Amino acid sequence: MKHDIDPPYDLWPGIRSRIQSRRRWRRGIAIAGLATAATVAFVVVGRPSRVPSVPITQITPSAVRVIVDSADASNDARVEQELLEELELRRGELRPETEAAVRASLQTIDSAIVEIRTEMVRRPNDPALAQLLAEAYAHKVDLMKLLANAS
Amino acid sequence: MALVRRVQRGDLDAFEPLYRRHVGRTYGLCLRLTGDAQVASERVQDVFVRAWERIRSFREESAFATWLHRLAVNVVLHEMRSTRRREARIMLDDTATAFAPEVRIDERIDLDAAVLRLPPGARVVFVLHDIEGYSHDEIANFLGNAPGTVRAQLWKARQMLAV
Repeated sequence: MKHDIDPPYDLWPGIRSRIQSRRRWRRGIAIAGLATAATVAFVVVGRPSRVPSVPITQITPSAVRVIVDSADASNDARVEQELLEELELRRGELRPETEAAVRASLQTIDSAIVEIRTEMVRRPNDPALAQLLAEAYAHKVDLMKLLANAS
Repeated sequence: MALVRRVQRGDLDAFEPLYRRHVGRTYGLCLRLTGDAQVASERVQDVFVRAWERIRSFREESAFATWLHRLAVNVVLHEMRSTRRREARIMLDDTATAFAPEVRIDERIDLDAAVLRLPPGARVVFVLHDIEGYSHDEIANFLGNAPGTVRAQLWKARQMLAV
């Protein structure tokens, strides 16, 4: 019995495509993370008299992770709604470029979440997809917390 | 090993020759474990995507082929467990009714075809032990079963194949 058996068709294009999708999502989430950091810089630098009551450095990844771990599909909508409400409430306080950065970050994260969720329907047992989704949620929650703490 | 290092640095083009080199062995393993060509093709894709994501954890003290082989076993078994859990069945619980019909004599000539007709639990154990060379303890570890259960499954598989 020989160990090697050729697959019925070339599987490489599918593998390459899946890897490239994941790279794109990761890049999108990372860019959103950078935009989040830029948002904080705008908020803090732009309004020096209102220093965050909780230093940004205290928002540790593990603290965010606790929130993300408790997040599920229904939570996602709630988190997004809260973030949007926060943006609306602070529309007059935020610089236009800050608001634009927040909205762009949110859009990037949401696009990644939609694509990851679509892929998860096809591959519900893929732990890497779950990890990517958690990262996307983490950035979303991060954004909300940073906005709240910077007020 | 130069290819592996390039892949570890994120070079996707270097991953293709690695895939070409190892796909036959990986597909053979997946086909024998799953017993289904379409499912095996999907698992092979899963294995290589997972390998890409985890290749930074590969240490060069072990051969890449060995590392990939173990990864493939884990991916296939994880998927089987998850699918069965979703279907509210117990992993590797091959009851008497779950056994496939006995293998016909003419099919025994082609051991591969006969192996594919084994019930999932017996097939997995037989493939991992008699074809891939894992020990009872290693298989028990993969499956989360007692070594005695593995031996029993192997005995059943051999009986069915009359090896």
